[in-house]
Formats: sequence, structure tokens, C-alpha cells
Amino acid sequence: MSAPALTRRDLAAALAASALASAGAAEARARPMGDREVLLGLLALEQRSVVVYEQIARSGKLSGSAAAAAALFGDQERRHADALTQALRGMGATSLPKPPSPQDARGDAGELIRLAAEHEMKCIRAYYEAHAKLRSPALLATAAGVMANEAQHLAVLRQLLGRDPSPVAFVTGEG
Amino acid sequence: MSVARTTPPNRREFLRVAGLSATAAGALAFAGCGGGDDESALGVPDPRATPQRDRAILNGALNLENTAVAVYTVGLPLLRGAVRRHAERFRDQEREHAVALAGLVRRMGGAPNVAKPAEEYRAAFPRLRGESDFLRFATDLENVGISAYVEGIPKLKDGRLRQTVASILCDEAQHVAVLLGARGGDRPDVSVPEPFVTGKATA
Repeated sequence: MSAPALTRRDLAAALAASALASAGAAEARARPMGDREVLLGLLALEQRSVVVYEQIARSGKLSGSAAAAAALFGDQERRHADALTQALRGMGATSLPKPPSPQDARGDAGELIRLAAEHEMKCIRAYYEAHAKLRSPALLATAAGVMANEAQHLAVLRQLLGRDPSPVAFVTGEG
Repeated sequence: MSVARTTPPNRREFLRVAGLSATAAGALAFAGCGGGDDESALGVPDPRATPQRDRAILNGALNLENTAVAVYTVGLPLLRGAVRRHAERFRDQEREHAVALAGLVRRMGGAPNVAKPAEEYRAAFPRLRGESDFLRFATDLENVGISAYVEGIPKLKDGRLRQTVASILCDEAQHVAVLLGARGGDRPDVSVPEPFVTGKATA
């Protein structure tokens, strides 16, 4: 049986993860602290994102494009978490945050989408702060790409709630 | 002998002539900032980062924002309904980016690049026959900006400038999600196709 062909997106994600891991290894040689602490905080948030979308998907309360968005975004959050994990391992980190335990999602579809949107805001804010702290160029480039993806999630979630998808010119995760 | 152009370029020609192909985005938008990407592989801060280079990077970004304002301005008469409302807001946001970037360049002691006259942009753009042409062209331009910002952020020395540019990048990424959604029937996999946004997403 032949292996499934890699899509362009798979390849891009693999390259991003690989760049992060390489940067992580170089980072470990250059500065054992600093970037690593920032990544640990981001990883904990990404793990929480995966759980948030899993809870929402399991609730069965979303349908149509809302359910499709939750499934897709959960998968993309997992890619972010995997890339950060690889980078941290490349930096020699042995103690990584454990994923939080899933809990039952409460509320109707609108409340669940709002929950996801609020969490995306937190993630955007964390990446925004990280941009001032990270020093490795490769980590900065990847963080920028992830932050932009979280901003897109937020835009789609806002559309699902009937709101303006892009209400501010400077997306900082506040307001 | 030079021959005056009588027909507008097509989309691809425009991007090529303007040097705005996705792969060239970083080189053009951040012209004058020197150097390649070899520092990325090292995982250490870019030793060539200087306040002067930061200023050049921001001025390059300003060119892109001024072009984006012109694209939305030219496209508006072709649009109706929700797409038009989004495009109006996006144009205003691109203008906010341009004003902010110009202010930063000025505060850093530089002279902000000035927008070209509207007719000059219009003549350089491909012919847009309707909403579909506009959505494709605007997506291309937004993606050029995204590529440039993703490549430019690691080159900025000042952390606060990196934050400002990242906040603009995220706004452009949201624009692309909406534009792709408008072309693809608001399917999430079309609006948000890649977990690491690089400016290569198309519908």
C-alpha cells in the first residue's frame, strides 16, 4: 500500500515544524533560557485550544459550517502544539506542560462559539506579547504565522456569531 | 523607442512588474534592509538589525499599505452587499496601517514614503471586470503583504515594532480569510486553509 501523498499544506506545516525544531536546537546552544520559557507558555495555551475545540466538537451542539470550523480549527491548534513541542524538545526541554483534562462543554451553540472566540483572543494576546520577547528569527517567523492563523479563527468565529469578522485594524487580542 | 502601454496589465503581469510576486514580497517590501535569511537557520538574533533597518522595513511596509488602499478604492464600485461593506472597512483599516507606519517612520527620524497619485495605481492595476476579479486581485495583494510581514518581523530589532507589525499582519490575515470565504461560499477550510499563515493561501 502506498503512503498518502503530502499536500502543499502538509508540506508547509512540516517545514514550519522543522524550522521550529532547528531553531529550538540552535536556541538551546545559544541561550538555554528566554525563548524556551516563552514557548512553554504558548504550548500550554495551544494544548488548551485543542481541548476547547474537542469539547465543542464532542458536545454535538454545532452543525454545518460551525461544526466544520470547530473540527478544522482543532486540527490546526494540534499542529501548532506539535510544532511547539518539537521546538522545545530541540531546545532540550524535558518537562513539558501536560494537556489539560477535557471537561464537558456547557451552553448552546452560540455560547460555545463565544467560548472559542474568547480563547482565541487569549492566544492572540499571548503571541502578541511573545513578539516582544522572542529573539530567534525562526521562532519569530513561525510565531507570526501561528498568530495570524489564530486571528483568522477569530474572524470566522465572529462571522458565525453574526459579528464583523475584522473590526479592528490592529489585532492585539485586546478589546 | 518606448511604446506607451494602452491596455492594463493582467493580474499576474501586475504582480510581476511591480515586483510583488509572493516570493519577491520580502525583497521588495523591505527593500534596503539588506541580507538574506541565513540568520534564520542560526536561531540567534539577527546581528544586522539596527534602528535604521527597522525604519527601512517600516517604510517598505508603508508602500504595501498605500497600494492596498488603492486596490480597495478602485474595487469598491464593482461590489455590492456584504462584500462591499467588508471592502470599505478593509480600505479604512489599510489607511489606518499606513498612517501608523508613516508616524513611526517620522518618529524614527525618517521621511515616510508617499502614496502615488490614484491614477498611477489605477493604470498599473489589471482590469477588474467584476466582484470575482476584485476578490482574486485583493487576495493576491493581501497575501503579498502577509508574506512580507512574516519575513519582515524577525528582521526588526525593536520588540514593540515587532508587536505593531504582527498586529497589522493579523488584520491582513483576517482580510484574506474573509475574501477567500466570499469566493468559496464561506467554507472554513477555504477561508482558513493553513495552520501556519505564510501568505500563500489561494482559493
